[in-house]
Amino acid sequence: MTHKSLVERRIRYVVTISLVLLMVFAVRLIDVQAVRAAGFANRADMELAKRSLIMAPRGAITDVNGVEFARSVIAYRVLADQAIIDYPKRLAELAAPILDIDSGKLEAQLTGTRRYVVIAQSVKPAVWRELQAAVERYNAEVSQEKNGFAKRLAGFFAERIYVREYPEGELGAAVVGFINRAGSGAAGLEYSMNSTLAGVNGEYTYANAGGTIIPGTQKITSEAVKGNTIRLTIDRDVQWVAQEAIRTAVKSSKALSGTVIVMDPKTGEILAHASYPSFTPGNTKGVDPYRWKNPSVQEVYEPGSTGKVITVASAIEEGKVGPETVLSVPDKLRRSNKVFSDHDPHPVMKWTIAGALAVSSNTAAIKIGEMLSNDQLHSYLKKFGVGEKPGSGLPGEEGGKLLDVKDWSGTTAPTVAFGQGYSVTAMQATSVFATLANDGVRVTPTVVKGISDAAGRYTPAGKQKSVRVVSAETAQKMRLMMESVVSASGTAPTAAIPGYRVAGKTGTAQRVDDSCGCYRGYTASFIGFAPADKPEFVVSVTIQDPKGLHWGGYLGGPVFKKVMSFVLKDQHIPPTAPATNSYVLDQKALKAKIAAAEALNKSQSRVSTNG
Amino acid sequence: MSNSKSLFSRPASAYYLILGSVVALSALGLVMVLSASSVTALNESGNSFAIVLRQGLFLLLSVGVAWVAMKLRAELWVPVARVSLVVSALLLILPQVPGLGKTVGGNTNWIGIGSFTLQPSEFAKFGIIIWCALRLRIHDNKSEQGLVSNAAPLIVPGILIIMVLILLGRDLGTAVVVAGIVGGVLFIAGIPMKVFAILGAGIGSAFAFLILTSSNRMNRFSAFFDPFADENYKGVGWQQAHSIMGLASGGPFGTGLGSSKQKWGNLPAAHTDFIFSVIGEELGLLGTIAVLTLFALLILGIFRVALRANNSFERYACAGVGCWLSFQVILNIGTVISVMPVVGVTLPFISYGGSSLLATFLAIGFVLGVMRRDPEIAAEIKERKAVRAARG
Repeated sequence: MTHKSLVERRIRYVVTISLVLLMVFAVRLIDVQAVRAAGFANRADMELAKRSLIMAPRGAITDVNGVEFARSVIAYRVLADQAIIDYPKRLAELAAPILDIDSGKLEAQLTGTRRYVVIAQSVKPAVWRELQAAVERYNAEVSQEKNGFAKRLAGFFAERIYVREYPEGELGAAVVGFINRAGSGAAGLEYSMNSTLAGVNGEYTYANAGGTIIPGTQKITSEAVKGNTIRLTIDRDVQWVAQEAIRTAVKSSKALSGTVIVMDPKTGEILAHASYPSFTPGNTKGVDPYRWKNPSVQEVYEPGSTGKVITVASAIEEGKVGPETVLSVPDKLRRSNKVFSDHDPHPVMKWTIAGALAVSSNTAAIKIGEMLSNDQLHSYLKKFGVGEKPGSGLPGEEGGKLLDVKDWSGTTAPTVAFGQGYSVTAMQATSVFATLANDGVRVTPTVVKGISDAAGRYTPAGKQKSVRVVSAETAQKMRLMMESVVSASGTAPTAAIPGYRVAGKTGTAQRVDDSCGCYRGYTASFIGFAPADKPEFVVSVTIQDPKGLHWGGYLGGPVFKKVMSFVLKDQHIPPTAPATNSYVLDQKALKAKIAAAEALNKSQSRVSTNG
Repeated sequence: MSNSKSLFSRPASAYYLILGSVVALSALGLVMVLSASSVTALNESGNSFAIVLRQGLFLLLSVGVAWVAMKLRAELWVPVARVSLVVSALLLILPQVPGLGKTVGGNTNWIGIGSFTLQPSEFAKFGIIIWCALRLRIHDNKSEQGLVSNAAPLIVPGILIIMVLILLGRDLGTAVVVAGIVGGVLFIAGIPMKVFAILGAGIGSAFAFLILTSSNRMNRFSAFFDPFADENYKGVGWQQAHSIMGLASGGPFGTGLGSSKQKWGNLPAAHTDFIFSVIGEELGLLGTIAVLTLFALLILGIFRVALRANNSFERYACAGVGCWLSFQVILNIGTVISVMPVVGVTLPFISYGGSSLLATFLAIGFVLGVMRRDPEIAAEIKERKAVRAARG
C-alpha cells in the first residue's frame, strides 16, 4: 500500500467517524425533541410559569342619590429592586421630591441587594406617572452623553393596588364603617356586607425567566370581578343636617354621645343615621375603639317616657281606655315595696289619657298599665319589637333586655309601664314610633336601598318584613294624642314646626351606667313624626348622659325640629292644615267640650226646625 | 466514489457543496444571532440589533477575507505556512500583554483595541493547520521515497509550545480543539494505529488525571451525565439542563422564529456557545437536523477537496480544516445536547463572534482556492457559469 492510499484511507476514516457522530447526535435530538420532548418541555414550562393576582376593586357605598360614602380607587405601591440600581444616590435625589420622602433615607432604601423593597405603601397614580416620567426624562438626557447608556437610572417598579377612600369623612362613619389593612371590612356595613362589597380577585399567568417577564406570555386565567356597589337609603344631605344637629346638641349639653335617626315609617328606610362623637374612616389610628361602635343599634338604654306610648297604645288597643277617658292621677303611688312618683309634685289631677301622656305622668302610666295583665303588657312590648334585634342589617345589633313575665317582681309591671326596667336601642325606640306613624304596622328598618353588580345591573332590595302591632284606629288616636306633646302645654313645645302638624313624645329616663351597674345620669330623648295626620318621616333624637338640664323636650326637641324641618323641605312634603279637632287634656276641659257640643247640637236642631 | 454520475461524483460538486452549506449556515447564523442576542443586546445597550449588526459587519468582512484567501496563489501559501507557527505563537502571547489583553468569562484570550475586540486564538487554529501541513509534506516526501519517517516528531514539539501558550490564557476550549486538529492530522498522516493508540491513551489519561484530581472539574465533567440531578441542576448542570429543556420545548417543528423562552435569561450564552439550543427551540427538530445535515455536507465537501488535492501541503491543510470544523461542531453540539461535558467552543458560522467568523471564512477561502486551482474543477465551474449565462 502506498503512503498516499494510506492517507486517503485515513481521511475516509475521519469522514466516517465524523458522520457517524453526527448521526448519533441526530438520534439524540430525535430522543430529546420528539420522543421525550413532552417531559422536558413540561418541566421548562413549570419552571417559567408564574402566577399573579389581578386585584379586584371593592364596590362603593353610596347614598340614595349616588353620592359616594366609600369607594375604591387605583393607587400604586412603589417598590425598588436594589439589585439593578447602579446609582442609588442620583436615583434618590431624583425621586425624593416626587415621593415626598427624605433623600438620604431613600438612598439607604435603594442600596443593597434586596429585590423587593417597599418604598411607598400607596401613592396616587399621578405621582407614580410623574416618577416614571422623571426617570425617563433623566435617561433621555443622559443617553446623549458619551457612554450615556450605562448611566441610565432604573430600579423602581410598582404594583397596582386599590385604596379605600371615604370622601364624606365622619359623615355616616358609624354606618359605613371601615376596612382593615388586609382590605376586608372591619366595622359597619363594610364589615356586615363584606361579601357583597368584596370583589373576586382575578389571576394571570406569565413566563418569567430569571426575573424577566417574557413578553407575550401573559395570559389572564380568571378575570377580576369588581365588588357590588351598595346604594344606601341614607340621603347625604339629610345625614349632614342630622350630623350637624346632634354634634351641636351633644357638645352644648356636654353629653357622652347622641344619635339621630330619620326613618320612613312606610318602608322602614333610614334616611339619616347620625351619631356623635364620630370618627374618620380610614384614619382609625388612635381612636378609642368604643367610637367605632354604632351607638344607635349597639347601645341600649331604658327608654323612659317614650316607652309610655307602648303602654297607652296597648290599653287603647285592648279597649280599656280611650284618649279622653278621665283618670284620677295622684303624684305618688306605692306599689309593692316602692313608691313611684311623678317628675313634679302635684295634687290629685283629673287628666284624660291624652292629658296624662302630654305631661308624661309616671303614675298615670302605672294606672293605665295596671288595666292590662302582665302577659298582655309583655306581649305588646314584644310586638313593638322590644327584646328582639330589629334586623336592620347593621352589624352588632342589640335587641335590648326584656324580662320574661315569670321573672317579674311586684315592681316590674309598674316600672315597665312608664318605660323603665327594660332596655332598647335608639333604633328600636324609633321603630315603635314608626309603627304608630304607619297605622300600626311595624316595618323592619333598613339602610340598604339596592345593590348594583359589577356590570351595573341594579337590584332593588326586597320589601322589608312588616307585622301589624295595633289597629289603624289605635295608631291614629295615638298620633292625635301625641300632637299635644308639642303643644304649648306639652313637654316639647320646642319640637313644633310652623306649618306642619307634628306629633311626638319626650323621654327622660334614668340611665344605667355600665361602670357601676346603677342608675347614674339620664338618657334624654325625643321621638316624633310629621305630618302628624299622614306621617312621612320619623325622627328620633337620643342624647346619652347630658350634663345640666336633661329633659328630653329641652334637649331633643330643637334637634328634632332642625332635622325634621329640613327633611320635610328636602323631600317636598307640602305643609298641612291645622288639626280640626284635638283631645282635651283634663276633666274640666272635657266638661266644657261636652257642654259646647251640646250647645252646638241645640242650635243646629233649632236651625233645622226653623229652616 | 466515482462510479456513479450523480451530482456528488462530479469533481466540482464539492465546490458547490462547500459554498452552498457555508452560505446557508451563515445566513441561518445571522438570523439566529439576531433572535438569540436581542434580549442581551437590549439589556446591554438599549438596542436589540446591536449584536447582530456587529455580526453582519464581520460577515461582510469575512466574505472579503475568504475571497482574498481563495485568490491567493499557491506559491504564496508556502512562505505564509512557514512563519505561521511563530505568528500563531505571537498572536497567542498578545492577550497576555498587560493593557492589551482582556479577560472574558475567566479566559484571557481576547485583545481589545478601543471598543474592538479580537480573539487571536481563533486565527492561531488556522495558522497551526497550515504549519502542520507544511511540516507533514516532509513526512510524505520521505514516505513516498520509501524512507522511514515518523510524523509525530515533526510537529509535536512546536505544538507543545502553542499548547502552553493557550493554557496560559486558561482557554480550555481552544486547547481541546487544537489537540483535536493535531490528533486528526497525525492520524491522517498515517501514524501507525499502535502509536496513535498510545498517544491517545496518554492524552486521555492526562485529561483523566486533571479531572479526577479536582472535585470542581469532576463535578463539571460529570454534570452532563445527568444535568437534571438535584446536585447539578442549580449549579454546573444548569446550562445543559436548560439547553435540553429548550430543545424539547421546540418539539418537532419549533415554537417559531424569535419565540424562544430560554433565551430570556434561563439559558446563559444563548447567542454564543448555546445557539444550537435556541435553533432547536425556535425551529424544532426540523431545524436541528437541517443544521446537522448542512454541517455533514460541509465536512464531506472539505474532505473531498483533501482527497483530490494534488500536493501534500494542500491535502493536509484541507484535511486539517476538515478536522477543525468537524471537531468543533461535534464538541459544540455534543455539549448542547448534553452528551459531552461543557467545553466552551462556538458553533462555526452560527455562533456570535467576529474572530471565529473571520478565521473560519479564511480557512474556507483557502479550501475553495485549492479547488479553483484544480484545472478539471475550474473548467467545470467555467462551463456551468457559461450555461447559466446562456440560460439567463
